[in-house]
Amino acid sequence: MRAAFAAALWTVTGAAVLGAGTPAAAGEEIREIRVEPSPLVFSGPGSVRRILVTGITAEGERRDLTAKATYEDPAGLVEAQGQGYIHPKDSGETTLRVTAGAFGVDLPVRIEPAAERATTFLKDVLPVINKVGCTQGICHGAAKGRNGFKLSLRGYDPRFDYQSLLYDMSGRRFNRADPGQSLMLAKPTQEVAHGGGLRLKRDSRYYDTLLKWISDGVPFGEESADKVRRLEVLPQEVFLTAPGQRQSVVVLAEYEDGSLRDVTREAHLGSSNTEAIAVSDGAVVQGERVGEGALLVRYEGQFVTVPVTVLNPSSGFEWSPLPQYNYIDRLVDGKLERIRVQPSPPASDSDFLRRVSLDLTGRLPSPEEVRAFLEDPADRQEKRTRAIDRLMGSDAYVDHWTLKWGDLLRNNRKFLGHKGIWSFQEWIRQSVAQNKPYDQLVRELLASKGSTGENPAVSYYRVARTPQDAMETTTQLFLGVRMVCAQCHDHPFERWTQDQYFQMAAFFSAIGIRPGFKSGEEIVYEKRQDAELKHPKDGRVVEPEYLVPVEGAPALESEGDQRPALVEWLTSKKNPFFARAVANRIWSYFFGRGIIEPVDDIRASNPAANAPLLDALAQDLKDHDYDLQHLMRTIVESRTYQASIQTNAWNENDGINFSRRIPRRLSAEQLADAITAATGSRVEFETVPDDSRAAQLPDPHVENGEFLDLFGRPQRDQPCECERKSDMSLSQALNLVNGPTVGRAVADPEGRIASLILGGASNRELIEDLYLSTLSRPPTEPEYVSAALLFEERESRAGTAQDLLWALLNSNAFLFNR
Amino acid sequence: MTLLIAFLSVAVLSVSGLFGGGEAEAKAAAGVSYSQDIQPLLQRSCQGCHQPSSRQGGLDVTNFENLRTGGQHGASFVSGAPERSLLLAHLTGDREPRMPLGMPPLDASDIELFRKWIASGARDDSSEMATRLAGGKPPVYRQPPVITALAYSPDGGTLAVSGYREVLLHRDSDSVPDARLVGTADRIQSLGFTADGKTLMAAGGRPASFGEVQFWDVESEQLRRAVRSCHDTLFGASLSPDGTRVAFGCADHTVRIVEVATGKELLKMSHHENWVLGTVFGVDGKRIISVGRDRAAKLVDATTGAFIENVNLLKGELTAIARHPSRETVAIGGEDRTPFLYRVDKAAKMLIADSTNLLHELEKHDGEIFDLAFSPDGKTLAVSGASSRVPLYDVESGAASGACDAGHQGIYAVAFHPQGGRLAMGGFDGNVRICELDSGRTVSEFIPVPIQETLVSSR
Repeated sequence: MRAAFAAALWTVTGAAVLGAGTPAAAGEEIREIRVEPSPLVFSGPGSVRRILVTGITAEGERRDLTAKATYEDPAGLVEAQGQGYIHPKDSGETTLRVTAGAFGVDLPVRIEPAAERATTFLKDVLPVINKVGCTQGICHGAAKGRNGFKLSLRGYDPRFDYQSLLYDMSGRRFNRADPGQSLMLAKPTQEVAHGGGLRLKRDSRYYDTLLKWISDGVPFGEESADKVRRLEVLPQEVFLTAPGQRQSVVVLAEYEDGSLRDVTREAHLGSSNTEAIAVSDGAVVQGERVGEGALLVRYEGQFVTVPVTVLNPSSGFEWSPLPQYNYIDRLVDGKLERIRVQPSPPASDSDFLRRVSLDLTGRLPSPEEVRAFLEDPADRQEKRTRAIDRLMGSDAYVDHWTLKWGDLLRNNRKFLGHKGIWSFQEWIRQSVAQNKPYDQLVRELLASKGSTGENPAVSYYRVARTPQDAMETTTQLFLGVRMVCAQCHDHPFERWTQDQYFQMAAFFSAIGIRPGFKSGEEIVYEKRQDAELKHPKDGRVVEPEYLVPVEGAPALESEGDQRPALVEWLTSKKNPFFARAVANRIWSYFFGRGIIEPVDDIRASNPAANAPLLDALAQDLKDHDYDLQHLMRTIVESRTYQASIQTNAWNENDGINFSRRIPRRLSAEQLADAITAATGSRVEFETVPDDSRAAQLPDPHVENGEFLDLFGRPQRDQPCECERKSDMSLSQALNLVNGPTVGRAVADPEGRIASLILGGASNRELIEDLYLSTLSRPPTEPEYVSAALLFEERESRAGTAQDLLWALLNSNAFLFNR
Repeated sequence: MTLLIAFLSVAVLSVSGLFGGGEAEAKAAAGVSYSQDIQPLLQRSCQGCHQPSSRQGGLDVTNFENLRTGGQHGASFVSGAPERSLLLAHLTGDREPRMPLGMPPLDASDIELFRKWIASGARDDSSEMATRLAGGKPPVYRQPPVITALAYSPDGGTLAVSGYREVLLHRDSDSVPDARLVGTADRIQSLGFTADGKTLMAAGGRPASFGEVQFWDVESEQLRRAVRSCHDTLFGASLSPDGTRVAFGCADHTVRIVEVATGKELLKMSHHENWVLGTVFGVDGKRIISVGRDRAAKLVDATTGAFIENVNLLKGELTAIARHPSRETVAIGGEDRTPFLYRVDKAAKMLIADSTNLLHELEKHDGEIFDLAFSPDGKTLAVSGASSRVPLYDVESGAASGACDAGHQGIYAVAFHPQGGRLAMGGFDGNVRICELDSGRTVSEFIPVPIQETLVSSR
């Protein structure tokens, strides 16, 4: 009784005495508390540090007690200012008594003597002007600055900002003779008119920092000492066992000179998933909804992400294991069990066949294929594996992946002309058909030279014609890295700098393109003159440099075409991006979502939903010498891929951990071809061979493609997966209901219905065939009965069959890959 | 000093407010000053919302002209009639909404200041006060101030150097100024002597607060007149060749011309679309060319204010302009680092802002350009800017003819000695360096202000 009372009090006030080891129904029982970092060392009396106080429950779960705990230093050397922030008043050693509930911890504290150091721009001032917002994109960080005062976006270029603040307009922004009168202090404190409003108070720490810096003679600081080398965030992972729980964090910066500073209050903290995770001003993470995301921490050009999980607090979760077909299932289950999500069991045979046919070949299985598969008495996994083999060996497989690569490589007559698209498509087709190892494919594209006729791979450079375009395309396609932001300024959410952008582009600066001897032909060659790339800032020649160092990559030379070296570096098994990027991309084609999403935007601030899984896929791919078919087979053979769309109470909210199948609309080409196949009709695309399917078209500029455009076919203008639209719209729905594509196909006088009726099919055969050809499964008995009733009630068999087919084509079961 | 006066007048008023009426009030009412009493109140409590970048209600209170013009409901005050003045009605709450919006109302004594100021005629006394307050105690320096302006007297005997709230006159090259001309403008952006050497013009102000041009009697070291203008420092001020007028650029995009003898504003021209940073009169003083952040060098009739044409092809923002001592040729430079020499008058029919008048495009400077100067014989052009190197060019050919080393990055002012042969340079580090042109050697270097060593500076 007493214990329960105490426990209840604990949850309310956090200050009551708790009976140790007593189970509590209303509140929670804390078994011990931990304080970090310990010991607590200050670099001088001027510094402030935050400590974290964590209670450990009987279940071993962590509870953040930082805000509730009390802090006392009997010696009075340090002072607590709430939320765990400790201010030292003088140097020396002391012990801080941290009390939370019934528990107390003595934290040893040491304060080093004050170091004689000037306040510098790099270490002290820039963080302040970033924090108070001067360098924001809507303020002075805008490309043109604001009101004549320009800073670099989020302070990525400290030299520039230093010059701007001090040298612009003959030093009008600071006043060395009378530091307190400086314009840079009067503006943000609004002592004079300031469009940006009040950003700084006179009696604040930040104000004092700026004032002291001006009084110290505005030193810039030393890059070798004052630059941030590394960030560390405590805790390294945040695990909240229910929405509403909070976790305080600490951000520590390590500088080039080895010194350490608590920058919790100056660092920029954000959430990668604001629906599930909120980050409040006091550097506290709070769970909003069940889900996952990351805390994104940014400080002076350095980034750290901290995974955050908000668990489903419902009681009664019990992991019920499902069979694991390969390592994918083990790694997916590993995460799911930890975050209390129960995966869905495998889908039915007919669902599986439809799904795997669409994903591997872009086509629906024919009624005959469905029947044969369903009637096959073999063991479930055995016959599924056989189906996978058959599909991978089919022509449709080649068409399907030729289309995908055609999208990514932008096979488009706008760039390549009428002749060019056919030869490039054929080159892609051959590569897919012989399952060319992925590294070889990339090598052939990137190292290509010569004429279009001799070597269609040069189309790569005919599409991406400038060094910048070739570089952006190469990094986005093959490394999953978007460099485009870095063209104008250092990437705001990544470590890529503007210099790196041009160093990478310099690899492509020697590529020349000139007209060939035949009409419509172009020749890609190596330039001997004007082969240098110049930096736009100062016009100096930029030498190529690898984006990241890779062990064993060739040393770069300043003369000649460095593309061969780039290709070696790129496709090296030691390259940290290459295999991961393609594994992630291929994965997304089977799940509608990458492990990192978007698939071509891999960066520190966009963490993987399941990093061990992605690592394992990449490793598997490398172990099999970039055999993409092996990767696809491993994926489709997994239980994870084969999971049903049925949800359970534990996974209905999960959309990112592959715990269930998430249905997605058929792609434009899949839908067009599925309608044609289901209705047995023919579509005439112009200027291509008769009976070409949508998946076989060479580029998006073939006539009669309006239906495909409506359903989001990519226009192949950008090397971005985002060009393909999978959304659903009213105009799409109206087109399906009323439009000519479905209407004509259903009523085709030489179509499926006509041949069934003329072939003497019974009503049952007719109904079954229509279900099989559209939904890839036989009708259920109630479906059959209601359809049969229609045929009995109405005169025209053909008309009734058409209505039924029309209805099936307009059902979600048809329109979705599920 | 400034503060003391403000404090005293407030103290006097609050007493009179308590007792009401009588002689004290009359005396105080006469004494309410726009620049000392009203402007600080506006700055503190009003201009957060009523400023050029956010004119709430159409009102901008950052300068007197705009305050008088008022906002969308009309003029802020009716001179002599506080009861009919919008400004007062909003402060007292007689008219909704009460100002300052969302903040506690002003103290009754402060509102009383507004009432009395309007009752006594709502005069702008800034220029008068600036003149009266000059000659105060010189500032104490712990670090050298940035040098923003330099000028030699016509006889070459005196070098005027900008300081903080003062102009320093140096007759010898050392840290002991021969005269300290203390005014109220924090920054001195431009300096110039009249041809007779009797008057020194100093223009500047306080950033984001006020602009001021001062006319000093060189011999007596007394301020003849200060004229307040614009709401930010005055930029690129220049004297007409006959020394009767001064032109300057403003942050409100205007160029203004003021009569030296009376302080009267003769012209206000709004041909630019951004801050105006440099001005120069033509050889005969009848025209004026101005440059600014809108990238244009505009040729304007200095008598009527009529726009004639753009001299240049627009490239980067322009900071500096200088005119050849005897020819209608100007040098301009700025953000894009290239110094250009332009003929002022068109040689052929030109299109808008083309490069018909371009004489020379000189070497790109190693950084933004801040100042330009022609040598007295008109043969040499000096270019100063972000670089520590000050290159010299032959005006006729446009070829490089030498360079001076200014010792530190950021050179904001250069001035040729009237007898030629030497160039004074100053900027970011607060040192004046004198360069011998023939050798490029620094012949003397000094900090133009006395530095007081204190414990504070080592903090």
